[in-house]
Parts: sequence; structure tokens; C-alpha cells
Amino acid sequence: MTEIAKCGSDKKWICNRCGVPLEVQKVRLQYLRVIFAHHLPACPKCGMILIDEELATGKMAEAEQALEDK
Amino acid sequence: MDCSFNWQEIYNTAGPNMRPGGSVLTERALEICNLPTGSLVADIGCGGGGTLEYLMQAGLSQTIGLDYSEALLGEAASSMSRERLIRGSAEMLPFKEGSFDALFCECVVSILADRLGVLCELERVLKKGGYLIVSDVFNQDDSDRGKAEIASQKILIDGVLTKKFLLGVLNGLGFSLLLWEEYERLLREFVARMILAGQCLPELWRHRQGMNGKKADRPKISYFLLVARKRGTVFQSAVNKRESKSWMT
Repeated sequence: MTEIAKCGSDKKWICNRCGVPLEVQKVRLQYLRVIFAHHLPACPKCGMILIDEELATGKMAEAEQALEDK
Repeated sequence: MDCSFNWQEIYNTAGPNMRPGGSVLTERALEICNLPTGSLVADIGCGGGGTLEYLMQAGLSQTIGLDYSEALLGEAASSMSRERLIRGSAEMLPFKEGSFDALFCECVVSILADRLGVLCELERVLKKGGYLIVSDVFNQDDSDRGKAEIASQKILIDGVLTKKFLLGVLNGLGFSLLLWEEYERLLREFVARMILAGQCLPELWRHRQGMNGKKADRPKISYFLLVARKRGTVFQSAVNKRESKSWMT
């Protein structure tokens, strides 16, 4: 674990660096020069964004595949 | 019509321009047409009214929008008069012959069952000398396999449009091609946005996502913009006097 850790039994994420709970925010993701607006948990203090495994290996991987030249 | 996905949700994700490229391709088409103020223009499959709004901003106030979705027409009504918005099918347009100076049909033909019928209807309601603007997904593969599908007319029902098929039909209907441009990148970006937003896309678009069948069997899907002009007398829309709703059947 580097920057973010789970918080207790309620399974809320907190920023390990700032110690505050993550909040769902509208964030900008960039891949192959395309910018996507998306709602993701992010630290309200430092801006660190949490991308969980399900998103990374699911919709995000699929979107990357759609953009790539194959 | 392919109604297996939620148009309202796609509107919520993509905004009023519910197609690859947004208003970029509409702007490009207008550069080619150079329509005079006062031209009567219809957007067939207007969705949430993005193109209608753009046309009005470009000085074309005589616009009509047609869409099958009552919900999307409701969205379009927020930016234009409701009496200029008509619920109907592109396969049976409720307009008189030779009504319009220009027709936009953006990302519509490919989701309809009777594609040849739609193109015939567009030709019917367009004036001689009028402009037809179509943008849509198409199969880049014009190989013998594609020709065989066209010959059997399977492609008119459940296949993907090809350039040869489309241009062949338009030529047969009396159109002269002014512009054909391909925008694969815009299609990819749109598909990626929809995937990330969790939206369902038309089945044929999913070929781009690599989800259907073996790679070798997948059609090479891209996106085109075409501008064609109906052969005949040059229209003089700017000086024509029209009675109210003279375009209605």
C-alpha cells in the first residue's frame, strides 16, 4: 500500500497522505490525447484519485482498447 | 430502429450532439454547402437538437427537426420552438416532395432497418439542387465479401454501410458527391467515452470494441462525413416566399 488505504469496517477510503476521506469528484482522465471527464473518488486536499481494480481492468481497459490502433 | 440502448442516457452522457465529432462535422459540412440565410433545413434524427441549435447559431433560422424519440424531442424543445419539432420516422418522412434546401442525417442511417428506404425518402423531400449531409459509421472493407453481401442485399438489413454501397445508391438517386471524408479517430473517441460512461452502443459499433468474434472476422468500422447535391435546377431558397408549414404533407 502506498498512498491510499481502506478505512475500517465501513470500507470508506481515506487518503493515506492527508488522512481525509475520499470524495467522489468529477475528474479528468487522459489517454492517447483524449480527455475523459469521469466521477471517481478523490482526495479533496491533494487531489489523489482512486481507480479501483474493477474499473481499471473493466471499462477503462475496454476504452483504452477502443482508442488504440490495432 | 435499434432500440436496444437508452437514447436518453446517451444524451445525458454525450450531450445534445449524440454522435462522434459533435458539431465539428456539422461545421465542416456547412463550409461545403455555404447555405444562404433563409434556406429551409431539416435535421432528420435530430435527437436532442444539438445540430438544430448549431444551425441557428450559424444564421440558419428556418430549421425543422424530426426524431422518433419523444423524450429527445423534449430535450430539443429547450432550445427551439416545439412546433418546429416533429415526431416521426426517417423511413416515412411526413414532408412533401422537394421541400428542403438541405437535409442533415447524422448518425441515423446505420441504426435503421430500411436504409435504402431512408435514402429514397431523403431524396424525395429534398429540392433539386439541394444538399444532403450524411455522417455515419461504415465498413472500410469494400472487398469481394462486401460486394457479395451488397448483392444479396443482406447489407441493407443487418450489415454495415460501405462507401461503395452508399455512393452507388446516392448516384442512382441523382446525387453528385461533393465531399467524402473519414474520421475514424472521432469514432474511436466517442466509443471510448461511451464505454467509460457505461453506455450501451449499437451492436455494429461494438465491433470496434473487439468484443465480437475473431479479429479477422470483424469489419473495419470507421466514420464518414459526406456532402452530396441533388442534381437538377439550382435552388433559390433565399428569395422564395413560403407559406407557413408549406413543407408538411
